[in-house]
Amino acid sequence: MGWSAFAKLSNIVNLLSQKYIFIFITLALLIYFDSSFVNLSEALHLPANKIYLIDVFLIFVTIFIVINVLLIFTIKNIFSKNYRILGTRIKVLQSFIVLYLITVSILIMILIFEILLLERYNIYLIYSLLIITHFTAIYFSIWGTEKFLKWFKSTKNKLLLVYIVSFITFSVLITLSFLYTITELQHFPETIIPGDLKRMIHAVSINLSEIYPFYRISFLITFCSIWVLNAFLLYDYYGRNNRLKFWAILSIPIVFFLIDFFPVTLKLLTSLYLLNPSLFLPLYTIPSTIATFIGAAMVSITSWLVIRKIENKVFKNYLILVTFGLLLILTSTQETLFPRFLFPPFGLITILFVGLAIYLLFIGFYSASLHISRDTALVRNFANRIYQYEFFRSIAKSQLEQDIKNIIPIVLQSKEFNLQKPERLGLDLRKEEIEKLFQIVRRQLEDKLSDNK
Amino acid sequence: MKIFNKIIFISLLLINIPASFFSFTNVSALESTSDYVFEPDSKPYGHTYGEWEAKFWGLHVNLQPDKSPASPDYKPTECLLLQDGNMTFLSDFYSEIEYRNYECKISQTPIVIPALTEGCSYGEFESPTDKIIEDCIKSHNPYAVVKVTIDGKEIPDIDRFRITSDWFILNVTQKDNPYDIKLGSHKAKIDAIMPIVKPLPSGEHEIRTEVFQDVPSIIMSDVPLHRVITYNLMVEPNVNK
Repeated sequence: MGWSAFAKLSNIVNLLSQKYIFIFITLALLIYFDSSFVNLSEALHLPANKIYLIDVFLIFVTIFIVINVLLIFTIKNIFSKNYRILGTRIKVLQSFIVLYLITVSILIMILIFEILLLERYNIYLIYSLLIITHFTAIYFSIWGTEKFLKWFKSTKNKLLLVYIVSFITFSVLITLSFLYTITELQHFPETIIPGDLKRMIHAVSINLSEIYPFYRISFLITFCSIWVLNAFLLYDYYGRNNRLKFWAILSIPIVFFLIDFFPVTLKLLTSLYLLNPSLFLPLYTIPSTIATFIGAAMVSITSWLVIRKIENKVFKNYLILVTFGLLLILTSTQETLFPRFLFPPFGLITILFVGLAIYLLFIGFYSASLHISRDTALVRNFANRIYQYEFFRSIAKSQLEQDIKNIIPIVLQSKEFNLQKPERLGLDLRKEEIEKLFQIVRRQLEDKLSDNK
Repeated sequence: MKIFNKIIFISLLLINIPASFFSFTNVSALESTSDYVFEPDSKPYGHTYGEWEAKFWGLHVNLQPDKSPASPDYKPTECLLLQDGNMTFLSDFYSEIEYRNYECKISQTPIVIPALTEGCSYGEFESPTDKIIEDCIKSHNPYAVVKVTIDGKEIPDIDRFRITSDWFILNVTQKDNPYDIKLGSHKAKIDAIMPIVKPLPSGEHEIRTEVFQDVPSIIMSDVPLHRVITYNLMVEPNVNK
């Protein structure tokens, strides 16, 4: 009994010592506590005095900085060995995101120093952080939409269509989330000073922005689109063999989310309070704070389960970035009490992950597609595999087609290979002609890649 | 058969002795709340429920910060009551702590129980409109579960008492009011569950209000609210009677 407990503990320690799992769990805990701290504080009757709240926020900021540093080095490690294959564009993107993370970290450090030393801070610090993170997110979500649209045009893979819809909903959601937060912040003065938490959240009337319902509906659509995406991935993992498990896992996040979302279902649930208040309250508090969180976490974990089976380590590392992105995108765009209580700004750290979330989603797919389109051995490995690999194969095929499409006009103009000869028109190519064409295309692709370096 | 009758007799005696003792010692306990609570569509003492709600809100927002449970400067007191003529108003449910007991001595007056209130006025918004105020007073209350008991007996179907007042003029004279309402007279409305009870018999009575509220996230981002306020009242006989 003792030995088996020790073995279990040892397994957990081993699991946590894995870099990605450590970052994932730390990220998830940071976001959960930052976004629901005010709710938990109310439910658990935690103290609401200024010093205590600042100390808690300081802990969140410290973890945020540590996570950012870890992510900078992790992203650098993933890409630094593969610029030869991926090209210069990825190098530029990677440098950009490192600079982005450093800027966000510096701004949040200035904010916490102002809170600690002056007991006030300037609201323009928050505006700057929101502008930087949201504009980065919008840029990558539009780029992602364009990329998936191009891939879909040439392959017509149905899963790619779901990704297109998801990236479009990300763009809309991030824009509305940004507009809503900015509108709410306009009710505050330039200098933010300490306020009473309970009074701010219970007594002061809320002049809710008209954007709010649109923002929430776009969140619902995004949640559903990611849920569909999850269903595709999960079907490959469980659905073929165990339908019951498949539907059970799939329905948990959506049920949690929808109950909390709509008045009718929530009222039905809260009516149970009268049956047994002392039993109802603890059972209600925790699920109500993790309704959104559990959905995001399950989507992310499901994709992780699928990705961990991939044997090629480099390719797997790119896709692990996607799982981080899936966790962050839903959690960073969820509604928090951040625009209502600003000293200290609980929920801000969660929102700041929005830029990184879309970057990770985009770069994960983009680098994976570039890699497999340029690594023929990897493409061959994908043959005869299950459905999800078909998805990456189709991306690879599409990316390769796009690369070749740009080369064909150059080949046609070159003197080495002339398809325009009148006597050859309408006839199949001879073996030596095919070999020659293949060599020219290959050389052009290599030249293109070396130009990118 | 005789033994059976004896058992029945002794059993009834055992049940009735403590019950009769209890009824003698707690003479003021109500048999039913319906005899004491005014119906929602009635006009207690010449005013509608909505008008009494407006009177309550006027008194409540003008409380000094140290006497207003919604204020960060509130200093808890043993008893907190508001008075308008012969009418006694219990305190609003916003409290600095979630579970609150008040010990009060009152004369035999009618009592207003503000179990759930949400009042809004033009004085607390930068660009107010009627729609903003209408939305404001109904932003939380529809999602609340409320229970009110008098001497342990629940007022049945309490949601019947959820009434919205007509427009009224709210006069704000308290500069540091906890709702950040500007000084002056403002167009206002209030939505509330605020049952009004007739003067209770003299003696000890317990009035308890319990609220659990959570707003769905499509409406707004909010924190679930749970408040239990107990008033232990010592009703003193009316000497004028």
